[in-house]
Amino acid sequence: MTNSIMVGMAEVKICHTPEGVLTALGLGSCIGVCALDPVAHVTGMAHIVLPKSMGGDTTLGKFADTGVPLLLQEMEKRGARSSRIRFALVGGAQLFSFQGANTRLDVGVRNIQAVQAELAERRLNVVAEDVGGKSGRTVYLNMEGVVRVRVVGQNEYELVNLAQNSERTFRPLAKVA
Amino acid sequence: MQTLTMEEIQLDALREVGNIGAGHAMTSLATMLDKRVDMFVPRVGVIGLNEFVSLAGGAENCSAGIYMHVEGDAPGHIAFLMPYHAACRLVDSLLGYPDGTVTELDEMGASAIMEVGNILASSYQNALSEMTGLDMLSSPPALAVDMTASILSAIASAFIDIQESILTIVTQIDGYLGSLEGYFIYIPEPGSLNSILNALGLECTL
Repeated sequence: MTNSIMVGMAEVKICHTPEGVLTALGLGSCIGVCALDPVAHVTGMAHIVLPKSMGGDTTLGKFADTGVPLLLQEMEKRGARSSRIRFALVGGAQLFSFQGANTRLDVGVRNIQAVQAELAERRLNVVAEDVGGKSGRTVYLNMEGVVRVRVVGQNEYELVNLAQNSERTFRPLAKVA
Repeated sequence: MQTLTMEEIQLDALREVGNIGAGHAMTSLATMLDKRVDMFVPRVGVIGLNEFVSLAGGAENCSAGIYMHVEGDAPGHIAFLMPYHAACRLVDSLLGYPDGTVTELDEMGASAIMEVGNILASSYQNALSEMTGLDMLSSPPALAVDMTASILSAIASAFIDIQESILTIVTQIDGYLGSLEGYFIYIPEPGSLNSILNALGLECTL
């Protein structure tokens, strides 16, 4: 029996019950940051919407520069250690195709770079990515550390098992039109 | 953080904005297709991000969405979303095929949807402009065919940086047996609300 825990836009959710599956539906340009501490048996997911906060009173989970620290903090409260946490990044697509230039909607690529930078700065362990491209994605993370991805018109597939010390899995960043 | 509180009379005025905008667009569509199109009463509300992404049907259902950014006296955003099956029916009608011929949106289908979406969003915007006397210019349209929540979240990312809540005016249209189901979504930027409401004769400072 699984129990879906929805991670809405700008939300950060933590799970430590065996049947819990953290789920972010329909990621477009947003990034689903999936995290597992296999020792503490804690999973976490952040649904990042934009790269950088403007400061002030705001929802921390919305931005890469505030959402990543919030995710770490929430996981550490439940016994996780950042050095043990293994991450997978999913999302950051550019869905819209244009006639002419439109820089307002190219936020996917900027989100990917911002989240990668936040994780790299803290020397955190990113073991898998399925980012970029043109298609929206739904991502699931269960307590075994399995990250599954669904794209419209394709079969759902397993991106990585965060609990296993396998090779790093990077689906190539598809060319953004 | 910006929080909007609206009075009933202001919401009524915005409902009227949705009526007139979508009404004009719907008339263009009905003329183009020579078919009857019905329109529902617009829904106006100040909603959060997660309510926004579920405005146009199930989060993971596939839709075709057109997006335009409006600039000028009253900046804002106009989107038109159709469920995938309805978009296929629309292409059937446009190309004169019997209903049910098109089952997938290929390049030609997508380009037809883009053209129609462009006409619909432009008529919506023209109606707004005429009604309020405000100058509005729209960006070239952008098209996405994907999960509904993905499309709406990508649109939201264009304006959600400082806002926590979104004023939206949603008008649903439909044709025979769901064949033309679609949603007009108009999002005036917070700074545009005063201009729009004042132009409609309501004294207000929001």
